[in-house]
Parts: sequence; structure tokens; C-alpha cells
Amino acid sequence: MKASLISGILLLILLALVILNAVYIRHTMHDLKDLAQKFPAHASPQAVKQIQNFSDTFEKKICWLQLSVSYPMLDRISELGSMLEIYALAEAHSDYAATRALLLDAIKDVERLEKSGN
Amino acid sequence: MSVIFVRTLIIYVILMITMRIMGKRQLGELELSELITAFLLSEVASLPITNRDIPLWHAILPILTLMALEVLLSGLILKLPWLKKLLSVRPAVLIHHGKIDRDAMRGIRLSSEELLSQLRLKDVTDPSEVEYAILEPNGQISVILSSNARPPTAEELGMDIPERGVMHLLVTDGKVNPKNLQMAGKDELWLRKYLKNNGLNMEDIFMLLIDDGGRICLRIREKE
Repeated sequence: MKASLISGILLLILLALVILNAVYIRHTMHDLKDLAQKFPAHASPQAVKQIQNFSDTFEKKICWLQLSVSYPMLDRISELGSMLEIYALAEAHSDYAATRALLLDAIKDVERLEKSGN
Repeated sequence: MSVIFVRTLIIYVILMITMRIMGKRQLGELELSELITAFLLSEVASLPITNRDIPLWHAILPILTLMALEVLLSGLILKLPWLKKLLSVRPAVLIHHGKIDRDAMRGIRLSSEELLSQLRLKDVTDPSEVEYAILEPNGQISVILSSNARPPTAEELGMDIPERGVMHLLVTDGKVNPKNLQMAGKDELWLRKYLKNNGLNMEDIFMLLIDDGGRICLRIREKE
């Protein structure tokens, strides 16, 4: 009986952790998406500071994100951020635009996975 | 490489704790839910060991969830008989009063050859000697022989045989087991007296056992 009670409590705690984790990831991805959407539409040195701010924010959050988000997904966001910075510095407009779109997609992918539970 | 090593250690410890909490039934007597849990646990636990891309939490969470569900379900089954009926496989009587129940065998898809094979494993060659043969939920067949086919008991022979009980291991490798000593109804004083009467030291003893009837079994350590 005691074991059943402890198991019931454990299940509730796990459920709470899962919900908190989902809320944290959605909140974090929402913030990152906001930052990414505010990047200038064209490559320019001004964009670099915003991209660096995005990368710093992402690096701060990564230690909690990697508990439940797979490493390839997080690595992808990190790599796209780095590539975006390079294209912004080099003022490679088409590459910058494509990479910016890919970055937003990558962030949305993580959000979607948490929403759908897939 | 070190990541895989550490993950293996962590998952191993968590699995040990999980199996310990779920109890001995997991090891030898699997009901339907326990079988499912055992399969899932092995699959889930191996994922982050073999695939570093998967976060460790993706194994820990399912393991803990499965354990909690299993223990909770076992507790509910005790409280709710209808749930046990729904989830547990019921025993099937295959032989009754020496007669094989073909309907029961058809129901569990067991052939005559398989039944006879199982009976032979229980040292039974003639099904007519079997009073009951029951297929238990864990897949084992229990065989109860008819009175004429089984060996007579001491009571039936009119013999009064003293209870032997079990052998309690009192000393092993020169070390006393105080719990077993107490269970056997003895104490350290008795043990020291026994050793003195037999000219022995504690260090000489490999095994000292005593049963509930007081019969002692002693093995001395071999000198190197």
C-alpha cells in the first residue's frame, strides 16, 4: 500500500516535471523566436550584434534545454546562429536570408515537438 | 566514449533500483502488465546507451514512469478484483481427475504433445495419474498427482517424524550471523560452548548450520 502511494506521488511529480519542462521549452523557444524575428531582413554588420545576443541567450539556456531536447536539434540551432553571423559580417544577402529562414524553422521545430509530443 | 560509460552506469543503477522496487515477481513470474513493463524497460534503457544523440532524461523518465505505473497497478489490482479479472490471465485446468480437458487446451492453443512434455518435466508419464494439472498465469503447469500415484506422506504411514524445518546458517567463513542465530533459537553463549566442546575456533569454521530439530552440519575450513 505504501509502495502504491509512493508510486502515485512519483507519477504526479513526473507529470508535473513534464509539464514544467514543456512550459519552459515553449517559453524559451518563444523568446528565441522573437529575437530571431527581429533580425534585420538584410545582412549587415548591425545584424551581428543582434545575432550574437541571440547566440548568448541560447547558450545560457542550452544546459536546461539539453535535458529533453535532442542534441542534433540544439546543435542545428547553434550552427545556424554561427553561420548567420558569418553571412551578416560578409554581407552575403541571399545566404543570410536563407539561413535566417532555416533558423526560424529550427526553432519552430523544437516548439512543435513539445506541443505535439512527437 | 566516457559519455556512454557514464550513461550506462546511471541507467544500470536506476534499473537496479526500479527492479528492486517492483519486486521479485518481475524476475520469475510475469503477469501481462509485468511482461509489457519488462520489455519496455529493456528497450528504453538501451536507447541512450547506444545513441548519444538522445538525452539521458529520455530514458530516466520512461523508466521511472513504468516503475510507478507497475507498482500502482499492482496495488490497484489487489484492491479491485474486477481489474484483476480484466488484466490477469486466469489459471486453466487442463487435467481433472485424470481426464484431459480438450476444450481448455484448445482455448490456450496447447497441443497434446506439449502437455505430455510438460508432464514429463514434472516426472509424470501417465496423465491418468494426475488429479489436477493447472496452467498458471506465469506459464508454468502445476501438477497434483492422485493419491494412488504420489508417494505416501508420513502421516498416512502412521509415522511421527520430527520437524526439521530449514537449515540456518550460523557461521560462514569464520563470521557469525547473529540474525540466523536468533532465528534458530540460539545465542553466542551456546555457540562458544559448542565450539569449546568440539575443540574448535571460530576461524576454523567454513560453514556451521543447524536445523529446527537441532541437527548440526559443520564444515571445517581447509588448511592452505
